[in-house]
Amino acid sequence: MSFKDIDWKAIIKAIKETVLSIGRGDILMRMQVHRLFPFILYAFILGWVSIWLSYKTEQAMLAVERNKYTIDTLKIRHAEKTCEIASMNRMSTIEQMLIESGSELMAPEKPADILK
Amino acid sequence: MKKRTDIQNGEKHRTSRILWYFYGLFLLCSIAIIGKIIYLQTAWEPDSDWESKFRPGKSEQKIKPDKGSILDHKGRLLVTSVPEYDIYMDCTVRKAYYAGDKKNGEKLEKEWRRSAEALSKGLAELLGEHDKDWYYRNIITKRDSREKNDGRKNFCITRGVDYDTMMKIKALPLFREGRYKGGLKVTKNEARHFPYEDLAGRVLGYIRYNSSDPKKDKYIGIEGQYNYILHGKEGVEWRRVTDKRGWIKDNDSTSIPVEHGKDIRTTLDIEIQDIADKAMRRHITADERVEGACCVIMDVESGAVRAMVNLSRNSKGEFGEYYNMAIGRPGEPGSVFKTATLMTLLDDTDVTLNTMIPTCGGVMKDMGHIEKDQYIINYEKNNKTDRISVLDGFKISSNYVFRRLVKDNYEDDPHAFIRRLHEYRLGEDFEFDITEKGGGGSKLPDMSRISWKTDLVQSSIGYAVMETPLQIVTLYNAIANGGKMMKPYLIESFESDGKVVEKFGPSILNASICSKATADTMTRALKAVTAEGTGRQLKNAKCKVAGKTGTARVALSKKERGGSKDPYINENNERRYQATFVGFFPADEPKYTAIITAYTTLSKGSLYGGDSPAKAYREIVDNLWARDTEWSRKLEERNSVPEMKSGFIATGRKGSAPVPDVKGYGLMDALYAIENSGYRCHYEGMGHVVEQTPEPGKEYKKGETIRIVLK
Repeated sequence: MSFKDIDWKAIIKAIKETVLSIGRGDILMRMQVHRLFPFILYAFILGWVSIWLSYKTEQAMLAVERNKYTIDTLKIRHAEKTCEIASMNRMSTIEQMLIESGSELMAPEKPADILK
Repeated sequence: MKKRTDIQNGEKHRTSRILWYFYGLFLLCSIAIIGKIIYLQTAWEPDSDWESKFRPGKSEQKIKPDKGSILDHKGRLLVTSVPEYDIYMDCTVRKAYYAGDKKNGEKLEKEWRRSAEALSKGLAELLGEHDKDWYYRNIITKRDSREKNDGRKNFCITRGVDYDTMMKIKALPLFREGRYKGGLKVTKNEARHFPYEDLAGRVLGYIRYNSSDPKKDKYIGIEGQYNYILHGKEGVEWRRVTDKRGWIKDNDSTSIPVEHGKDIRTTLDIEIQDIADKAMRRHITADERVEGACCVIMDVESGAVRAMVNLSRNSKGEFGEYYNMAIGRPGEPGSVFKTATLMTLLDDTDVTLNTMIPTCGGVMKDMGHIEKDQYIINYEKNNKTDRISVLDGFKISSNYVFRRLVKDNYEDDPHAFIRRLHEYRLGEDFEFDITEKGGGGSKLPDMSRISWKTDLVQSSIGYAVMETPLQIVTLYNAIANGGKMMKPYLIESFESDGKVVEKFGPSILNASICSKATADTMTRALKAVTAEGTGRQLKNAKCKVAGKTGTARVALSKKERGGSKDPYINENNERRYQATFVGFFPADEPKYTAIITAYTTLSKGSLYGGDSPAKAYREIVDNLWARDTEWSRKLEERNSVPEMKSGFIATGRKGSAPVPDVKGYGLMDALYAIENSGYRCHYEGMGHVVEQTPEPGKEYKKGETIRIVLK
């Protein structure tokens, strides 16, 4: 279709009708929007759900951040305790502690017997 | 009627007009709003100050990676990161605000100072470093200071406290009111902790962050040289404020994920390291002449280094891990090198352990040597003979025997001898997992200008060659391994969250440095040294050791020598010694190869490899043997357990009761039955009752004693 074939008169008429219709206030009725009401409602609900979901997501992310902080704190405590326990595990430290406490328990003098 | 209709029509038109006006107004408004929206979205640019106030808060956060840990081969923590906190106080907090409040300022300031007093008391009780007056004085001095400089107003309360202490400090009066009222400032640092304190300190290493001395190595040991693995990579994350004023991750912005550092699993066994460290401190460092000593323990089969102790004296005379001598201090090894010489002779020539050579009073006249070998003179005297076997020469560590053997067998082709030593990888520094500044420097005589009189004969007894203790122990490990020379290694794997990312393992330096038969012969010779020779300290060790002692004089520097022409002695007749014991155990099925080398300061006395190094070695062997279940006694004998009786345990609480039959009972049941029958019990032995007196069934007086024997 060439440029000349366009029905300019019809287009101008339609625009004029639309403007006049807006002016008259019956544009929505002219477009028969009432038929689309369920879809408009559906779109509105979708919008509302989207906002609600993003709010909930934010809440969940806040909870994640709080949990992350708790985990970090626990990690720190874990690292401290692991280090403390490891330092108590030193064999010569244990031997020294046993001597100081007057214990008769000594380091083994032979490997443990194994029952087959 | 017409009039009424007109009136009605007029009303209708008026209402319709009003509605039209409203409609037109709304229409105009909507057009204006839509136009404004289009303008705001496309053309309008807000003032940046206003924009920042209306936009939700956003900030870039750099995430520091968690530094990896260093583990021993059983996964025990050797080095790890633990956060530490430095606590500061901004002493001028709210000072200006109170000064500006003319109505209540003075009162509020007084209240603040009262809280500061309570805080000082709390700090003194909690930290115990200073008294409360000290804290209060410092806080008030800083508060009253007119300096605006941060350094002046900030008071460092303490450094390097743990998490719990930091939380307790946060809960103290004034500080509990938060940063903007209490002035508390906390900085977190990741400190490296060594749970086993200085054990293997030089091997585990550290980084000298503030070192500007180019002579000093900045990156020490595993910690320094594998920092690129341990450190990880920093990440970046954008965060935004939520409606509830909380900060969450902003997924719309670009973020760089943090890459945590990897853990390094080493081949070290911290228990073996502890045993070695303790033995070294007990036997070697007690000697005032010793300036340092090192010990390396290797797994025979793999070449994995299980322990590496390096103790040297500091300026205060205390021993600590300051320099890795095992890899960083090459020296003339002395008699421990005779093993390499003997191995070469056994492989290349007709010499056997039983080959006899003339003793000649311990003097090699054909070489113009005037130095007599005292060991040979003693040997001649004790055995009333003028001939000595190679094995006996090895046992007593005779220099004469080895010089003679090498001269007789390699005089025509000295290169052949040196070539063999090269095959043992003694002339080169093989790549080890860590390095030490000033280390390496192993060398054999230069092949291009070998003189048999000096280089060849001297190198046969461990002089004119330079070797680190690690190289010597690698050679002995090859003998223990039937001739297969394993490369010593320290790094087992890189791990991330417990999963192996990169695995390293044993590698072979030389698949066969000697034949299996030669290795067996060498083991026999080394066993003889500990049984009857210079290594007798190990004779009664809990498991058989095959090893060799070595005592070498250390060449002195020009400064140390002074006017003396002898490179090994100074004007005051003082020498330095390097005393070594090296070997493997159990000799018949070797599991570990170990070396101990001690270095003395300039002194008149001597230190032999068979003395304190051998004593320390013995302690290590005994302790390792006692703790390793591989050498446990396996109890296979069968034994019959006495048949147990079923049924009730006879008791006789009411009135007199006959002696119960307790044969076959365990001690607890037997005691229960006897004492409840009103008798006393005397028992012997362990196990189950096999005998009882008197026999069961008879009635005795209450309180009589029943004797039982358990087996």
